[in-house]
Amino acid sequence: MAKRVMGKISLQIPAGKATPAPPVGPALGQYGVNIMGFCKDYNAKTANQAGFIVPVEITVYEDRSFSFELKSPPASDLLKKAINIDKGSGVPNKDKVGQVTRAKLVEIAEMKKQDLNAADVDAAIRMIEGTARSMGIEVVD
Amino acid sequence: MMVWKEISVLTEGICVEAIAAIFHRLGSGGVVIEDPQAARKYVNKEKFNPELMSPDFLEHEFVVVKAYFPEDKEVISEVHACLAKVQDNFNISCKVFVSEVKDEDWEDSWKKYYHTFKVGNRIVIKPSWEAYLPNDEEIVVEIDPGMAFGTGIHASTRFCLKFIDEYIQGGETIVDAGCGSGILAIAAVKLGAKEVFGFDIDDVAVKVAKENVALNKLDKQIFIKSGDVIEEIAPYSPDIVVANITAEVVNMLIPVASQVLPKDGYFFGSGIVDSRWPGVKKTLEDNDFIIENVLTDVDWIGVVAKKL
Repeated sequence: MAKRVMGKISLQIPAGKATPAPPVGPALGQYGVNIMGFCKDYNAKTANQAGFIVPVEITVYEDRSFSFELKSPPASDLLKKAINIDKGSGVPNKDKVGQVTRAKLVEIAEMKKQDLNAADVDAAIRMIEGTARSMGIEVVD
Repeated sequence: MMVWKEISVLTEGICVEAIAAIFHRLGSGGVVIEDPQAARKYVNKEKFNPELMSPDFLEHEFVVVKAYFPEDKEVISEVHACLAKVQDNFNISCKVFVSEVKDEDWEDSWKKYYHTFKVGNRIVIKPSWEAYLPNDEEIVVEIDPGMAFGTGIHASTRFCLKFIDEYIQGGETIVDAGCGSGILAIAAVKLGAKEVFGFDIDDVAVKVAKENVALNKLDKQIFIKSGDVIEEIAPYSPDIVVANITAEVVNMLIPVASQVLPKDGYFFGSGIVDSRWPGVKKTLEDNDFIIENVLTDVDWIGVVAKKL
């Protein structure tokens, strides 16, 4: 029989660098998961993506074993890459860091649709657009 | 002990990426997303049988995005300022909660589920807080892994324990590159190895390994040192080199191991994800090793190679 699922944990953490420090430690610790075991697995499987944030969705089973799936990069990383900047703005309503076209937003939304909590592509586009504006990136047609 | 500020933002699913972006920019080193909606999606997709879901798991309605900062880092006002912009953009309100957490709050929580277990026919791994009466053939490795690698549960550690069980004849000198909790070194000496020199680049592992060596009363045969495994290995003349690390480090270590091992000496490599195995195999063959034994478990590989 399939194992009973106790919980699901989603993390956005740097590839190859998981450690028992927060956010990994407290997120997994609350479910009784072997934190170092997860770190070793995650780091081995993301070592070739060093420098990127690689989101991961962890399923925890009743016996505290776990499995995980790696996901597409966070929207903010894809947006930064699309317009070639290092960082979003600290004061997004005043300082703009760049511009992104609506076509690019659609492309990113399509790419991330599977991994986002969005009912359809339109909702995914709204999500990416709002993320862009919140980072101080202007959306242009 | 370290104290952390846990900042939780209660919001709706559509804001998650924008809020995560704020935390990433402030240097949180990652975020946690608690999203029952996503879990429901899994249930709908019939990826999991909903009857198997714990009943209290799907109760929450909102999504929570959490990040952690060292206690003395001032970030709250900037989080609020950036969230105001997110709320405007999505026309959704976000609530912020701040609390304190300590390392000790989560460091020991998994211990409840770590119990005595056996690897192969002879090796018994026993957490230091449990009791166990071995039979005549069993050897007991007493371990408190703390926050170091090496509980014995992971496939890569089990591979190495099996290799140690199978290949140690008695009297060997061993280098344990990336010793973690010291579990392999302890098992090796208990199975007859003369001495083990263990190294780890992680200071936490060095401390934990020393404690475990003392716990097993093997201070006279196991010597743990802090250092880079590639640099540290050179002065030793081991009969066996064991490296349970990652494919990248194993690959770098193989040429050095080839220099220090005698003819018929053994290299045990583990922590290798299957996609990296062809590279490791080639490095072994290019450095005068022949592959004698390969163990696999889902997508992990462990290898025994003999020096020509």
